[in-house]
Amino acid sequence: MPPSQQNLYPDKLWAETPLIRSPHLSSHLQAEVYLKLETLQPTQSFKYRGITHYAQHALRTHGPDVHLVIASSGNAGIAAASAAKILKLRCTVFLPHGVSQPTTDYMRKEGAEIVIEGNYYLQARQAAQKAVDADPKAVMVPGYDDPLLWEGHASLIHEVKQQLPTGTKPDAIFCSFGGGGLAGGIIVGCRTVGWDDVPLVTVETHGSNCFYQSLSLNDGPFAGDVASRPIANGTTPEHNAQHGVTVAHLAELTSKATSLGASSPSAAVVKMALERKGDIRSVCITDEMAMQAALDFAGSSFVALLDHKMLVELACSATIAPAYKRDVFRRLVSSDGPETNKVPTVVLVLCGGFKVSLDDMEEWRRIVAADVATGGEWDVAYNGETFTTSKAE
Amino acid sequence: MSSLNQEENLYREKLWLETPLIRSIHISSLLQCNVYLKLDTLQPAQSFKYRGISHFAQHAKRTHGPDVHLVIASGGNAGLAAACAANVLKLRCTVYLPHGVNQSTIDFLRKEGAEVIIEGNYYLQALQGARKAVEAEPNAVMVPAYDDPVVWEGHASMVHEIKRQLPEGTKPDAIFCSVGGGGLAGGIMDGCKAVGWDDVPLVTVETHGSNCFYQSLSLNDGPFAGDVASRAVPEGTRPEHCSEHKVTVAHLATLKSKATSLGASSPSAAVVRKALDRKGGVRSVCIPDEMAMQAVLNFAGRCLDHKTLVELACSATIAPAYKPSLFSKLVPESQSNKPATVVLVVCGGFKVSLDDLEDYRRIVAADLAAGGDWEVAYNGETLTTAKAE
Repeated sequence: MPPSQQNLYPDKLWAETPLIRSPHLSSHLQAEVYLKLETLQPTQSFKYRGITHYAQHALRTHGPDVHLVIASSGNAGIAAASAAKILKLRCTVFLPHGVSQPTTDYMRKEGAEIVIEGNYYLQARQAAQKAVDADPKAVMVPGYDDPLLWEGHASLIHEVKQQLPTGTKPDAIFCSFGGGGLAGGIIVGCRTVGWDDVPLVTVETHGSNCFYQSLSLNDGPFAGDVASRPIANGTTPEHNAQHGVTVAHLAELTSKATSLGASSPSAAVVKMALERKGDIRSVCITDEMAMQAALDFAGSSFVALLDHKMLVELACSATIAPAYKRDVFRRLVSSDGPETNKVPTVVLVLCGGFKVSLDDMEEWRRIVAADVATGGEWDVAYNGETFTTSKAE
Repeated sequence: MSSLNQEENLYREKLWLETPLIRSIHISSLLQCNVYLKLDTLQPAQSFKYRGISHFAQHAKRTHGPDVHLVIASGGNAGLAAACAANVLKLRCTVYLPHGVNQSTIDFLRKEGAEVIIEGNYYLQALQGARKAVEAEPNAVMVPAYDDPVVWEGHASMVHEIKRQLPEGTKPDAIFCSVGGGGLAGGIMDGCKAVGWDDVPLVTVETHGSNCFYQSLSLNDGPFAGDVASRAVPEGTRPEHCSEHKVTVAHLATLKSKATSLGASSPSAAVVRKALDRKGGVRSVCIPDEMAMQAVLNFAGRCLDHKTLVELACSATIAPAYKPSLFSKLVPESQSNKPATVVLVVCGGFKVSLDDLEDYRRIVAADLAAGGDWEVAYNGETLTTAKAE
C-alpha cells in the first residue's frame, strides 16, 4: 500500500480485494473491463470497509464499552456484527420478524445479540433508535448516510488506482446504488485520488430506484426541465434544506434486489453526485435483466465456461448487467473524444452480498426463461430517458 | 537467502496474480480451526496452472527467444493456461486436442490466440501429434502439464504468498491440495521446502476413480500401513519402476471419475519421490465423486458459503473439511487445545457450470437416498464418513 494510503487507514480491518481483468467481458465489449471483487471481504460485501471504519472510530471516541446498535437484516448487520466481534465490542442487531434463520445464525455466530421486533424494517429501526436513546454507551451504526462510512468505502478507490496498470484512469466506474453508501465512498475516493472527473455509472432496479428518482427531482444530468418530469406514483419529493437538494421518498419497493432497498437515498450523496466534475449516469434495469446477469456471471451452462463462477446477489449483478448488453454499454461508455480508437477502461465494483444461493439461481433461471418467452424487450432508464434492450443473450 | 529475497528474485516478472488467502468463517466455525482458503480460482485462466505454466513460458522465451513456439496437448486447464500465457507473452501457441472436445473449449483457446489442431480420437493420439510437431520444429517446445521443475517452481510461488499472508509467524498444521498428475503437490512441496515448511503435513486428495498418486504411494515403502508386498494392486493398474527417481509408480488403465481434471494415468515419479522423502510426510486421501459433488454444492450454495463454483477436481480438496469427524482423523493436530491452522488450496479450474451443479444435486440426492456411508481411503486404510450433512 502506498504511504498515503497507510496513513489514512493505519489499522484497517478490511481486505485489499483483487481487481481482476475479466477476459470474457473485455472481449465481449472490446474494452478493458476490471472487476473489483468486494465479494471477498470478510463478510462478503464492501460494507465491511465503512462499517469497520465506523466501529473503530466509535471505539476510539467512546472507549471499549461502546455498544454498537444497528437495524439491518442484510449485509450491514452482518458487517457490524463481525466488526464488533473483532474489536471486542458489544453489538445488538434489531431485526423484524421473518428474517431467515441462516442470517440470524450468522449474526449470533459473530457474537451479536439479536432483538426481533416488529413486522417491518421500520419498526425494528424504531426499536433500535429507542435502545440507543436509552443507553448512553450505545451508538447507532449508520447503514449508508455518514461521512465515516464513505471514508471507509473510499479505500476501495485507493486500491483500484494502485491496482490498475500504472497511470490508467478509468473511463467509467460502475456501482450499484441502494441508499448511496457505496456511491458516496466512490465519489469521495475519486476526489481524493484526482479522479473527480471520472464518470460514475450508478445502477438500480426499476422497483428500487430512489436515487434515480431523486436525480429526476433536481437540476442535473437528466434531460429537460425538472418541472416537466413526472413524479412516479407513491413517490413523495422531500426537500433537504441542509444539502439543498430534493430527495425522493418511495412508498414501496417492489424489486427482488432487496439489498438495494432504501426508500430514500442519502441527501448528502445526492448532493455530491450533482456537484462532482465527472458525470453521474444513473441507470435503472429490470429485475430479470439483473437475474440474467447473475446467471451469466456464475456460468449457467457449458457455453459460458469463461465466466466468473461466482454467485452474486441481484443488487450486485445489477452492476454487471449493462456489461452483458453491448448496446446498453455503448450508450453508457463512449470514447467520445478525438481518440475514437481508444479502448475504454472500465471498473465494475462488485459490491458483494451474502443473500444468494443455488436455489435463488434456479428460481431466477425459471423467471428469466419465462420472461424471455413472453417476447419483447427490457426497459432501461438512463438519466431521464428510456430505451430498450434485447432479452436474448 | 531469506525466503522473501528468494521470492523476489525468482518471481520478479511474474504474470500470475497474488491471490487472496481468506479465512473461511463458516468452515473455521464448523471445524473449530482457523481454515484458510487460497483462492487460485482467481488466476487468469481460472486455475493455479497459470503460475507454473506462465513461468515455464517465460523461461522458454528467455532461453529460446521470442520465436519460441509453445505446444501442448490439453483440452483442460493446462491448455487454457498455456494459451493465456502465450497470448500475454506474444508467443505462438498450438494446442493439440482429440476429436470430441467441446466446441466451447476450442472457441476460447482460439479466443486466447492459440492455434488449435484436432487430431486423433483419444488424448494419447493428440499427445503424439504434439510430440511429432515438437520434434519436427526446432523452435517448438512442449509445455509440460505437471512433470517439470520449472513448472513446480512457478506453482511454489503460492506457498511464499501463503507464508506472507498468514498471521505473522503462523505455520500451518496442514495444507490440503488435489492431485492429478502431481504438479500442484510438487509445487507445494518445493515451496514448503523453500520457506522452511518441509515438516508441514500435506494432505493430498484424489477421487477413487482417478487416484494414480494414492496407488503409487501404495507401491512403495512410505506412509501406508503394512508391507508393500501385502498391499493389493487393483485390477487395471500396472506398477512401473522409475529408476531415475527410485520409485514405483502406478499406471492406471482407465480413469472412471467425473473429476476429469484430475485425470492422469500415472503421476510424476519425481513428485512421488518428493512426497516420500519430505519431513512433513504425505497423507493421501481418496473420496467418492459424490462427496466431491456435495462439496461443490456446499461451497457454492449455502448462504454463508463462498458462492464460488468450483470443479470436482477442486472441491475434492474442500470436501474433507465439510466432514468434521473425518477431518479430525486426517488432521489430529486439530484436536489439541490450541486452534489449528489449516490451508486449503482452492486450485480452480474452468470446467464447471450451473448446469453441472444441477446434475450434482440430483446425483447426490439419489446417493443419499440409497443410504449407507461414503468410503474414504487414507494411507492404505479405509474410513467411512456420513453422507448426510
